[in-house]
Amino acid sequence: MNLASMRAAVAPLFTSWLKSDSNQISLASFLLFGFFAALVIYYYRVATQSSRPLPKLRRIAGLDAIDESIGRATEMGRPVVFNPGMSSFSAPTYGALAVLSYVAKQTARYDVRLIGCFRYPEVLAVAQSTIQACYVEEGKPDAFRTDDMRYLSGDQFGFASGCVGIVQRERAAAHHMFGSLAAEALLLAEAGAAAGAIQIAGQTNNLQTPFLVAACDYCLMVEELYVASAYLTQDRLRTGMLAAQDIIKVILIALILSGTLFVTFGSTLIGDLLILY
Amino acid sequence: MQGVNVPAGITASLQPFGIYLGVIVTFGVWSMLYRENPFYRICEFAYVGSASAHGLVTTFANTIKPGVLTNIIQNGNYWEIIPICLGCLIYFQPFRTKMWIARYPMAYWVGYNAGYALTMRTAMPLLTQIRQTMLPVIVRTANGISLVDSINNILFSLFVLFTMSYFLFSMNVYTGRYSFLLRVARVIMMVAFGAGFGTGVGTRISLLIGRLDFLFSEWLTLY
Amino acid sequence: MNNSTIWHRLAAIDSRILYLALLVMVAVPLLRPIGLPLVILDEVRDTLALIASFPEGSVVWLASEVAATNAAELRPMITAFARYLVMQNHRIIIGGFWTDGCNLARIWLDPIFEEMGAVYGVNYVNLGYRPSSTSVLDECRKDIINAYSDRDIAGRKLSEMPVMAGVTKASDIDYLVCMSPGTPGTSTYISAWRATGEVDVIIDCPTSGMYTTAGNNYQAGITKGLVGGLNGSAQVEQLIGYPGKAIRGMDAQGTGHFAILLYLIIGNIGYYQIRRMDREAKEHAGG
Repeated sequence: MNLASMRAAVAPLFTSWLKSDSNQISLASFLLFGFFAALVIYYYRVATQSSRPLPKLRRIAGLDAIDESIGRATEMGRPVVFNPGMSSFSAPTYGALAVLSYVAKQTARYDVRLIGCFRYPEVLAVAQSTIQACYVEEGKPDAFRTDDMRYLSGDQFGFASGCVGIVQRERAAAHHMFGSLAAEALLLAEAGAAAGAIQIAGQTNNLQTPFLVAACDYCLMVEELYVASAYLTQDRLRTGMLAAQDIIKVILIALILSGTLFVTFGSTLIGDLLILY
Repeated sequence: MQGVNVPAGITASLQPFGIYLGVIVTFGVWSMLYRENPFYRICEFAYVGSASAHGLVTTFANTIKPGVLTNIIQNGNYWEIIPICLGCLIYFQPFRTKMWIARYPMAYWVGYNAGYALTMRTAMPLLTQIRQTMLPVIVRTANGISLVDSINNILFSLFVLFTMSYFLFSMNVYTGRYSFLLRVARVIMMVAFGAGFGTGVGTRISLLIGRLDFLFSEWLTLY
Repeated sequence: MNNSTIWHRLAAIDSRILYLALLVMVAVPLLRPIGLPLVILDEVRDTLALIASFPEGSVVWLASEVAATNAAELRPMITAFARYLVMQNHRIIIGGFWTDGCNLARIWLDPIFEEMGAVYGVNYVNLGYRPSSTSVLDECRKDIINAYSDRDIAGRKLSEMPVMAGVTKASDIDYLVCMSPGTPGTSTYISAWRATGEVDVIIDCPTSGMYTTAGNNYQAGITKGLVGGLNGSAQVEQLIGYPGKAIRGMDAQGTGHFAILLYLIIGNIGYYQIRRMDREAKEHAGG
């Protein structure tokens, strides 16, 4: 059975609503993502029942170093500079905000100054609320300084040069770069290194990872950013979500393996099913 | 940005000024390589300020003005006033007691983006790439089996599997005697990062070439 | 421990001297080109052939996702493509979501269009910058004119331009040539128009830094053409017979890469040598 005949067979199933948004929607992807959603819901239920055990997360050195860097800033009496990346609301930015809330709690607890650099006003607004909530939670609402949450510029390198200036002038003891970073990643990392800051980077752009590995003290690789919130807070719900994601990855690995096996023996069935519509 | 009609004579007479300004700023920014200094700071502040102002003016001229004039007043799409009002609520942010109001447009924005990321349009590139990852580990050609292609495909498949399984955080598959596999996966990724580093360096050199080209061709007119 | 070995002296070199050496290595070939060979890749040849396979009058969206900061790589690229698209007599719609993108396209491309006899509004149009790529591209799937409030970069009515005749929604666009320095870039158009089936042919023109990701999309068939970085621009310039800034910059890029390579090799050997010497010194002190 080839791809064309399979498509012809399932075409009647897809008429109005599924095809209205896209003519490339895939039956397999619809089923697959439906299954993934069910898995996430299942783990959500498991996580909410405290009697049921959840898996333990692997150690991630870069995330352990966050406490170390804040400790250093406390000893030196110098600020922590946090950069939540270059993109507006996207998966890496949500990851970065999760780390930011942990960092904000720690800086509030140890009375360390926290400076945030922002490229998008909407991210600044959400981050401000998040940080303020953390300071309130730690019982120090007045320690939060709105002036230290700085919108710099919407322009990529305007933002980067502003960050470079802040890191250098404020002589940051710790420089955290999380979220989505692009060509400016190395400029920021060089500035932090020149200021003598402990630098921790966590971002999803593979192209910038090599530069950050070279220039930072700790660098989270790709998906490790998304683990951050669960890892740092040890929250059951977040750990449960992570366990569900891992199972999804195992399913995809199995899919690739079986597809490779099928292709080796001359059948493209599994691959074709994935893009079947 | 919607055009402002500047007479050609004025534009031409401003050109040398623009070039000299470009030269001064280029050297100002490069002075940072020596050390942090006031010259760099002036360039930095001017750049950050002008970039923000440019963004503001452009957004107003390209979105707000035509949106209100054309879409609402001219075409009568009055419902578009609703998102404008929703957007204006963000300006409650600086007022501590009324800050909660600013959270509504934010909640809408975050929700919209999270939902958008979950649509099938993100699934399509993912599933297409998974499909392209399924390569035969024994490559047959008209003359028999191609050893080179087969080895290539075997390595490719192994690297994909190692890298994917590296990111299983809650399953300790690499424990005990298998812990060396974690290091193998990391080495594989480092090789890929090396390739990325190479192409990334290309971009950095191109930036330098661009500035030097400006200095040599437009300022010094050497070619 | 002996701290006066060649490796220790090399490690102590001020980084400013290294910057200066790199500057010289890049500047000299710009002034005195040395004529390093330029290899034409199949992917570049195939991309140009793909564009040529579209009939005259086809509609192309030229995504001017450029900024002054990536102009060194993308200006030669967009210039070479603009020339080639006019040569093919395709109708060009220039759009972009980087703040400066469309303005820079106007400054760089208008003289070229004028030189090649293309007429604004008939052969090409510049839509101007709009923030929020996601919502604008989404609206374009239904109505391009409305998404741009019926105005081009200078406030002229889009609906009255011959270049827009028959182009009401994204699916009326035959193919897309996308400059891609990051986000917004090719990935934006893939999720907005390619994944939704509006435009099947995307030609990706990334900076060198984005080339590896772009290669994944090209190999997977998500994009149909790939021309990357200054090197790719130089190849296009050579193939279309208009040598320009990219070809001139290639020698400088070659020598610049050589300098970086040299730094990397010497730096790494030095690092391991110093580490070995430190270890040996510790063993002597301990033993």
